[in-house]
Amino acid sequence: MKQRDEIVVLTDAVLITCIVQRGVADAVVDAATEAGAQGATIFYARGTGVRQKHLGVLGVTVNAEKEVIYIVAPSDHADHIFERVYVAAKLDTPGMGMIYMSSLEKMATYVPPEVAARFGHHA
Amino acid sequence: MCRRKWPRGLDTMLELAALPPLRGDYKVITCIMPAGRGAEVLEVLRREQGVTSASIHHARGIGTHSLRHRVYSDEKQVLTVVVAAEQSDAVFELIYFAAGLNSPHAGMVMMGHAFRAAGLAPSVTVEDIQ
Repeated sequence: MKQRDEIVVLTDAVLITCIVQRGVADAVVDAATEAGAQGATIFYARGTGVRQKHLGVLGVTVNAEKEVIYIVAPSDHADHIFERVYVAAKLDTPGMGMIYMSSLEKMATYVPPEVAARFGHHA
Repeated sequence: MCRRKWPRGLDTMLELAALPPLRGDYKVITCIMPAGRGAEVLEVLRREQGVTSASIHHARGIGTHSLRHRVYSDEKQVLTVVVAAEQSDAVFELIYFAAGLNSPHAGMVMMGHAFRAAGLAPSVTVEDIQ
């Protein structure tokens, strides 16, 4: 039962959230994994905004269907991933979407015992 | 638990609830778990911690086993819940075990900060109001 009661909590993690037009997420995830991210979570959303009508041709070329990508990364690595994703998703172009990075107080996931032991955790 | 239809004091409670909340200390807990466990986790949250408002949606997860080799891509559910700071560590642990995150490739749970929140049903019972 001891195993059940213990959580290896990781601090110094940040959450990168990226909102892009539908279909772009794969390119974002590829860029993020290239840059060293361990994984990503993707889901769909619908976007809206005050400037919608002024973007694209008659507002139709900017798709309201969006993909949201969550990437959790170690904080010392996150800036690198952030920049690579920014470039890959072409977020310097108006209407392409947005990206932001927010701090996490803590996160927990499965940490293999041998990895936990390497960092001084003894089960 | 006594279940009277309109307990005395409920009107005052509703009036209080209608006021916009002041700044406080809240935590946003987000959990990525294998699809299908969401409803079960919600039920555990309600039973163990009295958390009655949470949001769940579907997502797909992509992970790497070793860097640059995509090995799995599968269906996930994402649970987001906002709780008061005092309650947050307990809810965090509860979600970790209820969602079965102590096994490989299951997902993760993370906790961030929020300073103003509404829509958290306070865990009051009918007895508290009376």
